[in-house]
Order: sequence, then C-alpha cells, then structure tokens
Amino acid sequence: MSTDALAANRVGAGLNGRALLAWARDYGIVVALLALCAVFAVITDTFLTERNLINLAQQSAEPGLLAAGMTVVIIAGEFDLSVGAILGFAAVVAAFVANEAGLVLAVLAAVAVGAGLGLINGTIVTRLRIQSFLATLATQFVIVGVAIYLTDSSNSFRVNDFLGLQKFANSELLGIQSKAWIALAGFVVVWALLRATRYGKQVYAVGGNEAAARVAGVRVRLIKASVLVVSGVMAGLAGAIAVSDTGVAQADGGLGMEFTAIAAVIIGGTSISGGRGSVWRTLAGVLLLAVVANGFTLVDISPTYDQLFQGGIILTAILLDALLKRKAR
Amino acid sequence: MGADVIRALKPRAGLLEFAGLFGLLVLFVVLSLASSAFLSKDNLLNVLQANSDIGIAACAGTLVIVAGGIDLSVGAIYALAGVLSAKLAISTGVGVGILAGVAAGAALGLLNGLVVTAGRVSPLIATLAGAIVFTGGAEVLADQELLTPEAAGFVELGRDSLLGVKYSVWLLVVAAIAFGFLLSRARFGREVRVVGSNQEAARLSGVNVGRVRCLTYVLSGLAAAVAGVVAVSQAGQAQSNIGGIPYVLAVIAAIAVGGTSLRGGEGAVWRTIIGVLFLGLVNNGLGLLNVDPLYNQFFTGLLILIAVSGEIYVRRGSGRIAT
Repeated sequence: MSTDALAANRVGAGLNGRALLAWARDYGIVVALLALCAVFAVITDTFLTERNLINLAQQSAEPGLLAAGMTVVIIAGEFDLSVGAILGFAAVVAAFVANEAGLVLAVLAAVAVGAGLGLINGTIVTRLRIQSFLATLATQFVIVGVAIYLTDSSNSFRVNDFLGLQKFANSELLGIQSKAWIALAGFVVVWALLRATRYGKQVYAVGGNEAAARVAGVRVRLIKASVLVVSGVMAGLAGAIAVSDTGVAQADGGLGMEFTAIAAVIIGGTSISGGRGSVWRTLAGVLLLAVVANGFTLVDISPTYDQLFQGGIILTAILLDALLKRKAR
Repeated sequence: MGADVIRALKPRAGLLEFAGLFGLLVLFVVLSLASSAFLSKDNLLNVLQANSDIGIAACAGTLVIVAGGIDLSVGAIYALAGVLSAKLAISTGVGVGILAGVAAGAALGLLNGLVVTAGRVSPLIATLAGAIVFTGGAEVLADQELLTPEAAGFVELGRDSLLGVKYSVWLLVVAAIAFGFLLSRARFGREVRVVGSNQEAARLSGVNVGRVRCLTYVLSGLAAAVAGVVAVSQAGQAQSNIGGIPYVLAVIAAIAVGGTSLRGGEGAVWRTIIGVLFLGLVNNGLGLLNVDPLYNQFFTGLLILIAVSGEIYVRRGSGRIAT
C-alpha cells in the first residue's frame, strides 16, 4: 500500500471513529433498549408477555411526563429540580378539589397549579437571575413545605370519591390504562412543540447559543421562563395521575422523581449543555430505565442494585456526551 | 441631602461583607429575648453539635465553590461513608471502619474531580450523576438494613466530650481552622481563588487548573465522609437514606447564607461558619417556637433564595432587579 493510501486510510479511520461515537450517541439508546429487551426476553419467560409490557408502559407514565417536560428545559439549557415537588403539591391540590368539585376540576386544578409553580420558578430564574438548578433546588423544598402545610402537617390527604377519581388514570383503552395514554399524548405534544413550532426553534436557539438567539430577536428570558412552565404543567399532570391512581395525595411523594426524569433525558442522549436533543430519545430513556428495573426484578436481582446501575448508565452517557463535544471541536 | 441619604442606604458590596454576621447577631438577640430556654450553655452547645456534620462538609465545600465548582454529591458521600464505616465497625473493627469510611469519601471525591477535569463535564452534572451512583453504592452496602454499630470506640466518637464539648464540635473547629487556613493563607487557597475568578488567567500564570479543581473535590468528599461517620457514630445507627439531597441543600445554604459567591472567585470559610450558625439558630428557634421540624427544609430553601438573590442584587450595584 502506498503511503498516500495509508494516510487516507488513517484519516478515514479517524472519521470513522468519530462517526461511530456520534452514531453511538444518536442511536445507542435504541440499540441498548432493544438489546436489554432481547436479553430479558431470552432469560425470563415473563418479560415478553403482554401483561408485563403493559405494566411497564403504565408504570412509566409519571416519570415519563416529568421527563418529557424536563427535555424541553434541558434543551433550553436550564434545569428543573423541583418537578418532583410540584408533582406532590399538585396531587394535594387535586385531592382537595376532587373532594369539593369533582374529577374534571381536580385535573384542571393540578395542571394550573403546576403551571403556576413553574411560572414562579421561571420568574425567580429570569428576574432574580439565580441559576435554574440552584433556584429549583431551593424552591423544591419550599414547595414541599407549603404542600405539607396544606395537609395540616400530616403529609398525606385522602380522596373521598376514589372510584370516581380513578377514572382519570385507570380507565382502560385497548387494554391499557389511560395514564399510559396520557403520558404518550404528553410526549406527542412536546414532540410537536419542539419540531413543528416556532417556539420549539426558539427553545433550541436559546439552549444552543443564548447570545446569538438574543441578537436574532428571540426573547431569551421569556423562553427560559416558559420552559419551566412547560415542565411545571407536565409535573402537575403527573400529580393528577398520582392521586387518581392511589386515592391518596402525598405532599412529598414525588421527591426523588426529578432524578429519574433527568436521568432519562441524559441517557436518551439529549445534550446536557443545551441546544440539542429530542423528546423521542427521552421516551427511549424512560423505557430503558423501566426495563432495567423490571428485568432486574424478574431475574431476582435485588432492587438495591437499581440505583447503582442507573447511575452507571447515566455516568456513561455523560462521559460519551463530553467526549463527543471535544471531538467535535 | 435626600439623595445623599438614599445613596448611603443603598446596599453596597462593602456592607454585604458583614450582612451574614449582622443577621446572625440580630437573630441571636431576637431568640434570646423571645425564648428563655435559648440562652443557655446547653442549648447553644446543642446547636453546635446538631449542625457540626453540616458545618464540616460546608467548610470544604466552600473551597469547591470558590474554585468555581459545586458538589451536589456530598449527601450521597455522607451516606456511603456512614454506612461503610458502620458496616466495617460491626464486622471488622472500629478503626478500620472509620478509616475506610473517610478514605472512601476521598476516593469518591477524586472520582468527581476526575469526571469534572479530565472528563470535562460540568460540575453540576458530574456531581449529580455522582450522587446517584454513590447513593446506589450506599444502598447496596446497607442492603436495606439498619446497621447498629455498638462498639464503644465507635459511638464514643460522636458522643463523648472533651472539656465539656462534644468531639463532633471539636472536629468542626478543626475543619474550620484547617480549611480556613488553606483558603486564606496557603498558596493552594490563592490558586483556588484565581481558578475560580478566571480560569484562563490562572492557566496563563502557570497554575495547574485541573489539579487545583480536582483537589477541591477530594477535600469535599473527605469532609463529607468525616461528617457522615461522625453523624452515624452520634446516632449509633446507619441507613442508606441518611444525608441525601436535604443535606446538600443545608450545606449549600450555609455557604450561600454566609455570603460566599456561588459564582466562584471569592469567599471565606469564616463566612460559611456564620452561615452554619445562622441556619442552626433558625432551626433551633423554630424548635423553641414549637414549629414542626417537617418545615426546617422549607426555611432552608427560602434562605437560599433570599441569600443568593440578595447577593446578586447587591452585586449588580445599581439596585435594579430587572432590565
């Protein structure tokens, strides 16, 4: 082989390496998800059954909604650590309203409360100029505190007409509970919002390059506040599902779920520095986390390993993202 | 004349230097007047003891933040070190348990530091992921059990006193002096401040930026582990759910309330001690006023928002909030 051909080969190998990494980030999540499903389908009899898969979809509803909203926030270059707290707050409010005024108003109230709390977060971030992760780390506990206060410091609040409220989350369509359909609808709406609207383009622009977006006439602070409202709305909806599912609203019941949401977004391959990503990846991330937890239970690995494994996947995704960014430079 | 008065009243960065100290004194006087139980040696020592674990990690965390980073994994390291030390104290030996817990903290801090510097991941994301992994580690170690190390040597660490003051408080004093000296007097501290205010300038003036940033995470992990071990020995029991995000919130709140800028470059350990005492007095006061401890984190969260927005407000100088 001539030296030219060797050099060309080397360049090709470099490109291929980079292309491989980029491909791993873009489709790694799908491959990993399919591979995991295949492994669990082979080593257990129970994984690939209709009942189990439906369960998986249903269990992913609440974290899925939180993660869908979180995707928009992270693409805009921000963070929302308060979604778990908003879920609990909205659930408590929904339970109150359900006892007074019935199902429809309860769901609307939960969503409105989510939007309102998201707006407060957005105002704190854009007006007081506190970094969003720090602001929402703090508001998380303020929100839980108020929610606990609403339950007379008992932390939980029971719905009187559980059977009536249950219709929201547990009605069946094609054999699958409505909460899974609601979450799917949430994903479709967010997908359409990001893909097909001007607003979506502005969210990407703000997360990709704030200064450039400002110069191009995007109202950066409005967009930043609005993404926190979007995640608040999703968390409110998840809160309505939570209370409709169990009949009991727990003020601090959503705490910790924000990590699962962020994990799903990161694992999906949406860039944590903003500006790049999409919500179908997040859906894949949510399903991957659910499959891991589900599969571990089926093969009798203690659930104590769940979080360690989850953390390992997240760390891998983050390092891959950082590696790619460096290669791209 | 009127304008002069207004100008004089306008908050300035110079005044802000002592806002935390001033707030602490006011709170102290108010609590002394409001509750007869407050101003006793026992109560004040209790406040110190109850907050020593937060303070120890906050002293080291100050270095991380001054260097322009943040460590969200201190709560998870606290839990993992606490569980590990309890487990080994039961199975192997007290000394081994304590040393292993502390060493594990330093090692996890090193891991954070490497992900941040060599992996070039933002500190927020790196330590958030670290928190999830380390919490997972603590869960695996504890295996859903409540560990109760009963060996005398282990529980003595948290419960015994020297000169009428608990060992844990002495450890806080040592941490405050050591990290305070490191940050304000040692060459390393100067490097930390330079790195935090301008990384590029630090690099150009020959500071090994990666090494300095990495070391701050090692120290933070080490201190969080000491805090976890002390807390477990105080309680005589360990579970994987100790520490966590509430602990992180308290540590960051102590640093922010003291007046160290969360954007890096400036800050001091004595400020953090003021922040720890301030938060401690708030919680103590709420307890004396019979407020349910369920609400402690509510007030901690609120104080973070007030402290950070106050700092940003004053730094922007002109007194405008919005533009």
